[in-house]
Amino acid sequence: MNKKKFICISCPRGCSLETEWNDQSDLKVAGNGCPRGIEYANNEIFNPVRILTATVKTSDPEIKRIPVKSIKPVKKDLIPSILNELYKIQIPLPVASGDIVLKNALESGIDIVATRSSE
Amino acid sequence: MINKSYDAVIIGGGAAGMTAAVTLSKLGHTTAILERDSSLGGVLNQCIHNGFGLHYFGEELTGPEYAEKLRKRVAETGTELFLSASVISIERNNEITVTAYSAKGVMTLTSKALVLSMGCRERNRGNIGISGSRPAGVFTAGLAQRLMNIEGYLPGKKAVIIGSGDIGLIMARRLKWCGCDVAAVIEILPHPSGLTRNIVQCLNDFNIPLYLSHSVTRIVGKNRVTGVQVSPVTNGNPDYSASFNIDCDTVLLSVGLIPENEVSKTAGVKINPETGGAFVDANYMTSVPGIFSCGNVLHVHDLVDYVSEESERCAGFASDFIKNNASSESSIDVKTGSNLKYVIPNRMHPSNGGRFYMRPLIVKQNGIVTMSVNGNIIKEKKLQRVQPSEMIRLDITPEELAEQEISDSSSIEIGVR
Repeated sequence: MNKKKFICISCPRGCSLETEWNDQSDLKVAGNGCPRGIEYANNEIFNPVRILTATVKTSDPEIKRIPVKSIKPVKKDLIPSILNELYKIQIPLPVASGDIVLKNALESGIDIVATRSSE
Repeated sequence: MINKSYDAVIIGGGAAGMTAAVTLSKLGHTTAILERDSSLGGVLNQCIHNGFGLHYFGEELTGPEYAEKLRKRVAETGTELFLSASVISIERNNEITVTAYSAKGVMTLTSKALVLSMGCRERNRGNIGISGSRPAGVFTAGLAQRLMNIEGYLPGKKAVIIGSGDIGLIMARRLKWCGCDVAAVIEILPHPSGLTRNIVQCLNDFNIPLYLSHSVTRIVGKNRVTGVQVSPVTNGNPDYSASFNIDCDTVLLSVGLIPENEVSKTAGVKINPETGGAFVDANYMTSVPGIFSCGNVLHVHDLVDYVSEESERCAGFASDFIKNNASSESSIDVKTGSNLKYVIPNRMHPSNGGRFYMRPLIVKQNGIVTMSVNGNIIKEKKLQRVQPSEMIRLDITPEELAEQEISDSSSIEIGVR
């Protein structure tokens, strides 16, 4: 029986989770304040993921960078490579919040989108 | 010179100011926002990470997305915007007059009500007096955040971060995700100052060491930072016999936010030394009639969602004031009780009930916050975790109070145990 304690990061509450499992099918989670904690625990043990946020260069001398995020959490160990891809890009303006900046980042199936509209 | 009149003028176009403008406009008032930056949004514009909006918008957003939702709401109202405008002074005569300047010149705006929502400035090296030389490479964390996220500069290559508050933790991760090294986070208290969530996703994820009960006692370097001296702190004093050095070229200071009330003082607004913000009554009104305050300039918040909620309430009371609907019922003191640094607001009209925000002085699991009247507990709320970095909110309804026979001589207190 495996056991692990950790903090859920799904929201600012930061509930303390206690988990037990033999394999992924019988994972028990306690201490979560809402259902998102169960999903978080499952991922954290078997497939750690994180929402990625960064900024991307623009071609505009006034608005030099646009903030971006992954629309869903991505695999933790893919993050450095995705960041490298983002740092190669230069996006033209105008851009609207929600516009895709990098589609299907590194075949993850997850898009990276702008989080600010240029004015 | 521009001279204009409004029902309400709002100083500061960040989360609090934008929410106040939307609320006041929807209540039928002419409003204007004075904002020193070139666009609305305040600090949200540079907070590119997520974790905002879960309560207020029902979805998890990044700072810029939260700001953009509010900006759009403001644009849908008739609120007049004065951007890149700096307020010089406020005067309270028959009306409230705000003097400001921008590229267009000096302007005076008069109004029936004024909302102070200027946010905070950062505590800096000079305020806390860190010894050593004065090389380049020492930044407050928020300044470094602006330089990185808005201007596109790296502050340095290898950083030590002073303070484990949320800004410092978020910047630790930011630096790592931009290819920089973070040698350590140094925290003077025996426990972390930021949200536990951020300890996990900003430090643990990157194996960045956190030194609790330690202090940076010296910054070293001639033209540029070359390192810091770190000392353990026992009984509030650094133990130099156990000092050690950490090499770095950058120091980020995340050592506290100070409500930016310099301009409030020009109006004679009385400031609460416990919060750094204005003293406010049950209606979020300061000691100067018609001048209201909300958001970080009133007290430092951890969640922008609470800022928006507070700002809506404050703007509602400002509206009542403009319409001469303010309650004539006398309000009662709400005392700051055990284990709390402050309670805001610290007055209440029993027929309205109230929503109170407070900060604890203790750290514990499974705490309880209570409101008592004349020593009898009338309301309790369980808290999974109590720590100074997490603001507590307690609501009391008029119905809950009606059962208690509150009178002017009742003693109301909120405490945590």
